[in-house]
This record gives sequence, C-alpha cells and structure tokens, in this order.
Amino acid sequence: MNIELTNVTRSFGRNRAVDGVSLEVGPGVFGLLGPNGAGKTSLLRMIGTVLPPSSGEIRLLDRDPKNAAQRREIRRRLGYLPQNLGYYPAFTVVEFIEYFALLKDMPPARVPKAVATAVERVDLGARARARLRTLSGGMLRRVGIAQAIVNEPDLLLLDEPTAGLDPEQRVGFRALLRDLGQTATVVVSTHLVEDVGAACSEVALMDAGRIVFRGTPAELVARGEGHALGDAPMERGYSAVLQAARQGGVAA
Amino acid sequence: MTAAVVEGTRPGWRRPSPLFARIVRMEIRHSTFVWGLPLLAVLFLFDPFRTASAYPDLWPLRATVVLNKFWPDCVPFAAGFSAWAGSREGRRHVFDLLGTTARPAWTRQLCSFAGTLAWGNAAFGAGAAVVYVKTATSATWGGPPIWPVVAGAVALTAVSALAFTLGALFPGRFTAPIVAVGIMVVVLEAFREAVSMSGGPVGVLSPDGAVPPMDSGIFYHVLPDVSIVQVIFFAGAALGAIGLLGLTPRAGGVGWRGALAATSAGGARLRTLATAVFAGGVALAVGGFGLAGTAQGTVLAGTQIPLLHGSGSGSSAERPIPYTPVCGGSASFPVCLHPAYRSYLGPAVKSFDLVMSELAGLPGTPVRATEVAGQALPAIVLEGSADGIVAGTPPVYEFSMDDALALVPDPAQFQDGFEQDIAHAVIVGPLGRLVPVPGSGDTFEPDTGNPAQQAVLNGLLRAIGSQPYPGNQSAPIAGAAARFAALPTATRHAWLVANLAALKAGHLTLSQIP
Repeated sequence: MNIELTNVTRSFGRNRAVDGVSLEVGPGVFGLLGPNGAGKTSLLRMIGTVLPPSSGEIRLLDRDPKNAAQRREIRRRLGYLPQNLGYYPAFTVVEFIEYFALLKDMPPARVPKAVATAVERVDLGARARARLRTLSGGMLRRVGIAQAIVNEPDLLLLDEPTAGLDPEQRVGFRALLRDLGQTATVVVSTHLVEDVGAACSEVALMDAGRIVFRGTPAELVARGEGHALGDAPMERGYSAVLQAARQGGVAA
Repeated sequence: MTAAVVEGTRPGWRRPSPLFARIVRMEIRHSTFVWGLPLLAVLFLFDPFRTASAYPDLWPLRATVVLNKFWPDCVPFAAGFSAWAGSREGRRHVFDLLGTTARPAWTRQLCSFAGTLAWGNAAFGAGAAVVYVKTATSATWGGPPIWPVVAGAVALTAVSALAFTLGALFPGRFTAPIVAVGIMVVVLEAFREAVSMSGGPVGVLSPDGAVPPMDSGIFYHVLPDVSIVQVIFFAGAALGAIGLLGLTPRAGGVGWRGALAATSAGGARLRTLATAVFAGGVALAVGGFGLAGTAQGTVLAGTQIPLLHGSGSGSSAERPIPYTPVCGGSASFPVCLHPAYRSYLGPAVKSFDLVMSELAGLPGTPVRATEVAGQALPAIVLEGSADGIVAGTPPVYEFSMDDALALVPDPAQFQDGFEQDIAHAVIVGPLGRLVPVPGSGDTFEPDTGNPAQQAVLNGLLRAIGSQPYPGNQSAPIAGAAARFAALPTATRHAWLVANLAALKAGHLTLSQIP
C-alpha cells in the first residue's frame, strides 16, 4: 500500500478537521469527495507531509514520514498540487517547473527533459517561455499540475485540480489522470463528482472529518438509486451518503 | 572504477552540486535588486563618486569614500531587497507547495539569499571599482587599498542576511520597507553616533566612519586591525542570521508548532548544523565586539588591536613607508614632495616663487621646502592652523601637503598658506607658543607680532597678492601695510635688508614704516 493511515486526527484549536481516519490506498486513481469543510484538504496536507497529524499513524510509500531521512525519500517521490497555488510571477513556466524539479532532488541532468515532458503533458508547450504573471487561471492550474508530475511521482496528491480548467482541458486532464494511475497512487480531492466518475477507480467521501463512504464509483452511484436530490446518478449517490451520515449512521 | 569516481569523488570530497548553481542562477535572474540599481547608480554618482573625484588623488583618501559614502548608500537597498526576497514565500503563499519538496527549506532560502546578495555585493564592488579606476588614472604613487572593500562587503552581507531572516520570519508586503528604513536608522545612526562620540567598540566596528589618520597610508603603514575586527564581527553577524534562518519555523513547516513537530526536511542533522552555524556566528560576533573593545589609538598607524599583534605595542606598528621624494624648483630653493603628491609639485614650486623673491637673502629665510608627514610637525603647527614651520639651521620650511590641501585638490588652497608661513617666520618669528592650562591641556597663544611687524607682514603679503595674515587689522596697521605694499619691489627689499633685524627685535613703530 502506498498510503496507510491509522486512526489519524488533526485538530486546529478546538476544531477537529480530521477525525480518526483510517485508510489504505494502493496504485490507481483515488477520488476524495466531500462538501466544503469536510477535512479533505487537511487530510491531503497530512499525506503530503506538510502537516503533522495530531494523533494516529501515517505511512507513505512504506516509509515513516516522522523520520527525516524517510520523509525526504517520500518527498522525492511525491507530487502535490495545493488547492491555492502560490507562484512566483516573474518566473517563466519552464523556470517554475525546473525550480520544483530541482527542489524535489531530481538528478540535475534529468531535469531539462523531465520539465519538457511535463510541459507537454499539460499542453503548455506554446507558452513554455511565458512569465507566470501573463497566464490565465486555467493555464496556471496546468502549471501547478506540471510541477506536481515533473518528477514522475509514485504518490500524486491533487487538491481541486480541475478548478479553472475548461471542459476540453478537463477531458484531457482526466485522460492524464488515468495514465498516471497506471503506475502511481493518485489522490484527487474534488467536489466535482463527474471528475471522480470519469477518472477514479476508487472513491472516498468525507464529511465532518470522517470518511463516510468508501467504494467504487459504481457503488456510489448505486447508493443514490431512489434518491431524489441530484441531477446525475453519482450526485444522487453523493447526496444519499451524506444524508445518511448526517442522520447518524456512517455508510461505509 | 566508475566515471563518477574518476571525475574526482575522492573520500571526503564532493564536487559542488550543479543544483545549487542552477537555483542560484535562477534567483539572480529574478532578483528584484535589479530594479534598485538605477537609483543606487544615481546616488553613487551624486555623492560618493563626486566626493571622491573632488578629493586629491591619493589612494588612502579616495578609499575612505567607499566606506563612508557608498556603503551607507548601499545599506537600505541591501536590507530592503533582502527582506523582500526573504518574505517571498510568505507573500506568495507557496509554503504548502514548497513544504512537500525534498530539499530543506534552508537550502532554497540560502539560494534565494545568494541571488539577492550577489546583486548587492556586485553593486558595492562595482562602485568601489569605479572609484579605484578613477583614482588609478591620476594617482602617482601607491595602490588600491583592499581592506575597505572587504570590510564593506562583509558588513553588507551581514545587513543582507539579517534583513533576509527578518523577511522570512515576518513575511508581508510592508516588511521590506520597514526593515530597510529600520536597519538604515539603527545601523547608520548608531554607528555615526558612536563615531562622533568617539565611543568604544561600536565606533570601532562602524564601517561608516573609519577615517584613517592624516597621511597614514602614505608616510606610514596603516594597520588593518580595524578592518580585520570589522570582518570578524560582521562575518559572525551574517553567520548568526543565516543560522537563525535555518532554525525558523518557516524552514521546517507551517507555524512554530508544526515546525517543531515535523522538523525540517533535513531533520535533526540539519537543525544541528543550523544551531552550530548560529552559535558559531554569535561567538564570532561577540569575539569581534570584544576585540573592538581593546582598541588602542596610535599616532601614526591608526587604531591597533593588541591581540592581533601578539605582544606588539603601538609604536612597533608605526612603520614608515620608504619613499624617494620628488623635487623641483631652483638650486637655491628646492621644493621636495612625497611622490604621492607628484602631481602638485609644479604648483607647489610656483607657489613659493613670489614670497621667495621678496625675502631672498634675508636672515631666517628658508633654503629649501620639504614635505613631511602631518604627524611629524610640531603640535603648534596644527594649533596655529598653519601648513608648516620654518625651523633648523640652515632654516628649512617643513610642511604637510595633507594640511595644505585640506581635502581640496586646488593649488590656490596652499599658495596663501605657504606664503603666510614663510613671511611670518622671517618677519615676526615663531607661530606662537603652547601654554599649559591645568586640567584642560595646552592652549595656543599666537604670536602675530607688534603693529609694525603686522604692517610689514601684511604689506608684503598684499604686494604678492596673498591674503593678509590672520590677526589684528586695525586702520593704522592696514594703512601702513598699504603704503609698504605700494613700494617698488626693490625698494621694499632694500628696506627689509636694512631694517629686518630691528623690526624683528620690536624696535620699529608704525610711523617708521615707509
């Protein structure tokens, strides 16, 4: 398993953002669904080694992130796209991705080719020399994705990756996700259920810091049969699971 | 054996990683310091360069401009842009993104710091180079002093490191201007205050104000002690700030608690290294401060730090620099200067022509003029605001070009002074005397002569177009002086030949002046 979480919690003051989550995820594309404030981003930040858990155990890529040497090895093989992408406006697309490739400890000789490949995979070849300040929001999102995949990570964490992408780009991105999921563990946090249905082999639904559903997209759809709220089958499943969880029972 | 080993992977030796070079190159390319360079260049031309150009072309003198004028100009730029670079990760909200990278935060922050520092020190070095190149085109002796540039660069590095760390600790858009102004006020004003109060270690450590004594570096070696102590102190301060940067929470995670929990990507080993750098830096700075506290002034060689010389004393450090004087003028009145002042030889020789033609052959008239170090002249010369003194047998006019020029490379500055000194010595006598005053040292009592002497002295000076001798200028004296000045040169000279002994002895009155 590339991700092993055992009873992980994370509190901010009195607010418990993640509440006793246990999860094992192997290779493939894993969707993390949930309403705003469900704890998806906090969970992703803990898996990304940015945020230490308040309690519980985390193992990533068979390594313990509490150990400095092992954490560094995890980070070499990690790709992360945060919900709000900060960037340096004066850097060009290539420079920004190269900067992260170097910080990810890639062998310098491999960096130029890896950067070129990442730029092409997100279809930014034509704007490779453009400064980031000149790019649109969707293009910046693609730059963020490129920096996340430049090191060909074994563990890729994407927080709202399709926000700002147009429909055509979104379709292309889903194809990229499926491709990446062939060899790596890809965790996609999103509130757009169609992304999950199209690209994920497995999905978890979070609410109030807990995982209230885990299964395949088809199983989530099945949960929505007969449920009225939602336009699409998966939306109905999403709503049904949340409603059940809030009425007192954890569906998973 | 692998190729890597063949390329030089000897035990304990690693080639510098191109990774750092590439990131630093990127940081240099994108440093915002570039935007400040035009303004810094304008400031440089307006003040340091103009000041240096106006100084006599002496290496030690011109070099003082690098520290006293240009270094203070660079401080707010280095501080502001370093703080701006240090606060970048916070301002741009990239902590999460960068927090997942394998390289420790300290590494990337040092690369960012290096990018800004490179511009700051390059600008400082370029300014010093311009001053030195300008000096090299006209200086006639000596070479560029290196210590002021080294001390200034290290001090600027310390300012940059401190500002960068402050920026990293308190990221925000107002951090940079606050830090720039704050450091400028604290560093410069504190140093200037200490220097003006001639006060203690802070004054010694101030790069802004380390003015060497008169003629030092020309007649006597200047001790590099102050510069060495400044380098020690500021290198320590820079290391301390860099070490602190490695210990900040931003270097390891988000917030203090997060940092302590997660530690930095480099873990305990990196933290130990950062702690060691911090502690080493603080120890070095404290050591430098302590050494500065032991500073002793020497008469000729500047400030001495005894510990840097073992058991050496101040006097042993005052070593004269051998030189061969350059001489000009006539065989009857040669004028000799230090070769550093070679460019002033012609004007100096010319400046004696008129007064010597008036006084030639009179008793007490000097037979030659020789430049000596300002410190080698009797205290009475400095107290009497003279350029030199006529002394010895046969009489010789010994003078200081440093005093005569008074930082202004204009021969008109020294011609009047030379004429007054010599005319006063021949007609009146000594400049005056130092009278001991209990509890407050010596007081100078000038000897301006009696009214007849004053009238003849000022009449002679007026006749050769010089300024009147400072002192009493009453109407009767001025009238007699005007009468004496109006005489034909030969008549005036003949009268002096006949009456100088009586005049000098005080036996003549104003009415006896022709």
